[in-house]
Amino acid sequence: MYSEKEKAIIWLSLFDFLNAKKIEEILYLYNSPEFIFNGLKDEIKEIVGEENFTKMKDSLNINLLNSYIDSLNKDKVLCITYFSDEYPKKLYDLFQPPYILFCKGDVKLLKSRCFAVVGTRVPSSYGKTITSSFTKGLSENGFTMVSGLAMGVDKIAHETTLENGGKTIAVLGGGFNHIYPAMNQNLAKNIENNGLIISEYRPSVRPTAYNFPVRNRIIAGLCDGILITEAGEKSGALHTKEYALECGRDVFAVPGNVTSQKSIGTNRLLKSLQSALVMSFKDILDYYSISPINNKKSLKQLSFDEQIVVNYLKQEAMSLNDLHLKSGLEIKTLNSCLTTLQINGLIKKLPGNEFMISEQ
Amino acid sequence: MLSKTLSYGLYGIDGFPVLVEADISNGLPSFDIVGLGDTAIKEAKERVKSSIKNSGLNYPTNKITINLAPADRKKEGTLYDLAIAVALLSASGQVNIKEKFVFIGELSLDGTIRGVNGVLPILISAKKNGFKKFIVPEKNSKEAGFISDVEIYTLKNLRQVVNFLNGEEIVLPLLSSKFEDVLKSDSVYSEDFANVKGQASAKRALEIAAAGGHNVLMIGPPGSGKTMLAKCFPTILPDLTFEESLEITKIHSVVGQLDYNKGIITKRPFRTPHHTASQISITGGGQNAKPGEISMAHNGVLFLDEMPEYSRQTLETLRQPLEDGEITVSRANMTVTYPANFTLIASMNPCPCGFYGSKNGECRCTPAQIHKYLSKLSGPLMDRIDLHIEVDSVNFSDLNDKSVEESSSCIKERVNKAREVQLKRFLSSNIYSNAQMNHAQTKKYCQLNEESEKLLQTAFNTLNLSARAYDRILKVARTIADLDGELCILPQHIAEAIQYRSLDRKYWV
Repeated sequence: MYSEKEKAIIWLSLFDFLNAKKIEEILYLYNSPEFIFNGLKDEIKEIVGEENFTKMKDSLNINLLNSYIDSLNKDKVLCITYFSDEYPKKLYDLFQPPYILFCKGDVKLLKSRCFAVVGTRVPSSYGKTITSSFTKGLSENGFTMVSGLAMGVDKIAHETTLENGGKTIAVLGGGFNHIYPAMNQNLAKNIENNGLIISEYRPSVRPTAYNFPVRNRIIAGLCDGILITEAGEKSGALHTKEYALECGRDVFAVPGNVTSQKSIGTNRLLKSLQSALVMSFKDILDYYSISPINNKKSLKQLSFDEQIVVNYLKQEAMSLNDLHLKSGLEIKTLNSCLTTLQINGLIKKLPGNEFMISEQ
Repeated sequence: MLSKTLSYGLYGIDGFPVLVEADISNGLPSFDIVGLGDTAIKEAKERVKSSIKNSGLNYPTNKITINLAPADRKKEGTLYDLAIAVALLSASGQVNIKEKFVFIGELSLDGTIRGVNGVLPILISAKKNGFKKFIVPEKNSKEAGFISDVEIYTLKNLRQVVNFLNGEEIVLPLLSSKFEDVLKSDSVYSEDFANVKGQASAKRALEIAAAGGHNVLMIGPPGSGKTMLAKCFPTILPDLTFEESLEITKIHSVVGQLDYNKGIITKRPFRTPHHTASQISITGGGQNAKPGEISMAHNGVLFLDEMPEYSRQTLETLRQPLEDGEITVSRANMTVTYPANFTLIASMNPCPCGFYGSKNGECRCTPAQIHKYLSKLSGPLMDRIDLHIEVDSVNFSDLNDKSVEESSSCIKERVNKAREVQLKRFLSSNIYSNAQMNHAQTKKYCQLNEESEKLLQTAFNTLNLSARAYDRILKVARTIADLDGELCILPQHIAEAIQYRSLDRKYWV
């Protein structure tokens, strides 16, 4: 089922010491990749070193490739190589496109219109709300949401998309057998069934700290644009931004409170004019000239008390006790108002008994 | 000569009659006690011997055998001393027992009768078994005074007992004391909700908890007043009834934590075991299966501060008593069931560092750490806690606020009213608060009208409530309706109840 060309790349992916750059150098020595099966050229020794060269040679002699492909098939892992038809052309824009993508799930998504949402691994409640509202809006309007299956913003982006029946792609920094963080194992399974997970590394490769920034380039490459919802001073999301700018993708960022440590990255980005400021997912849709699907439910008439609560919360997020003091409503009425408003999706509850308006 | 007297033993918190038989026969002088007594009973012979001698009575210098029947049942403690001494004196012809007395008391070497633990539970059981006349130590007179319709004589020493039995001294039976008088003179608490500034939402939740007997979990950053709120909680609990008070006193009497000067416990207990407390000290146990903290908290409050700090095993053992209101402690020596019907108040921080979601500090915990911290509380345990409340940290302006807060007695009045409604509702069943309803009873008493039903359904769909929340919400809504004086559960009651299920919802991490 794989062509010889593809097989050559798959074979090369067996060696951990070969990154995209080294594979490029090796392929440069041959007229066409499949010729590598005819014999290893001595120049490869200079690229990978003597020890590794013997390893490659041994592997070529005992012909591991078929059993390797079999085991991949058994795990329902599809390999898409640089030379495959399914390979998303947009990745060619990258300085160092991945030679192989291991895929699990719906590979058609690779060619759909993608948009990435990335950000800090420990978002504030503001970051969480913003991430989910942007993701919801974008996925409802036909974007495939791409992110890195990390904690925090990435996780929220994937989850929100799945909850709203959208499509999502997770780009891993390690092999499929080592989902990191392990907490996201179930989420990964879920994405596999309803979306797509991809990785540049074969399933048994363990994720290393070095791998994560490298996979960020794939996220950037796959997407039309990326959105950074919340990022601290040294967030990994800023790597993704570098790659995105490098290959000519649009970068959007959501401004945060200037006093918030967790928004320093995004605010600085906006200050340096490297990204466009967006306040709602509609700004992004506008940018791509997409008219938003209008599926707003007809609003229920609010009761008098509920209106009071909404008016106070429109000014700022407030704790239950502050609301009680300011509005003068009894706790019991307040509690029931807050529940009905939450059910109607007008307000959101935050940790620490705080409430905020969910959308402007 | 053979002679018999009656005494009572303790098994758990119930008494059982013990027949003390004394036989004096010819032979070398000796003193044997048979009938599975512990060391304290074996040593009784020295006390009995000296006290008889020092009371100016004759100690028979023959072969003495004492049997404690039923002889196959283990007995412990010093409360048989008096019965043994009297049986001995009767066998040697120095005392003439005309009526059926139950003797309880420990003897001192000089013949004084010392106080013992567990007099109240013994009297209650004995009264139930039809015994009418008792001789108990004077020191235990306060607690004994609460048992009416029986003749209780409190005597000072062995000599007095002998004189009394022989009709040489007239002693009047103990006057029974009135529970209401003691209750009134003793209803002052040092804590009061009037001293807690702000925290209106937490107070409201505690009011609901007190009214319906619900268990509460308070979540909040350090310094937000969780402990203070919990300490005030007993002040709004409904007044003790005499029966409840007796139950509490029984347990405290068995453990030996009863104040002899008071004799009965009139305040709901508030127990705060430290989180290093062993599982045994919480549930009860030890060689002789003594009641633990949860039984000491019977009809009162068990407060677990920093709940996730307790060992997982300790927390899990709370599950069964929370459900059944009693705990069965099995030991090699005995298997006892102690009542353990308490309101659980637990407090915890939202994360290991305590500042997750707080305005006053930055949380430094990773999601994995928070997850691990919260997962200490297992689902089944959370299942038994009806109200989860989040307590905000208090800022300075609130503390400095001059406005007057509602006092505990105001809240208590409303609580008492709501309890009355419940007592009436559960007249035919053997429960007395909304929290104790089982699934069938919940179905029967918490019927929803169409509008409420719809609200609950949408809430479940939109707010990601877990299935276990369903019954809890109904019960709490029932209590809120009772507080409001409403017969039906209205939508606003359901809506409020939903606010108290924050841990069920997935926004938490």
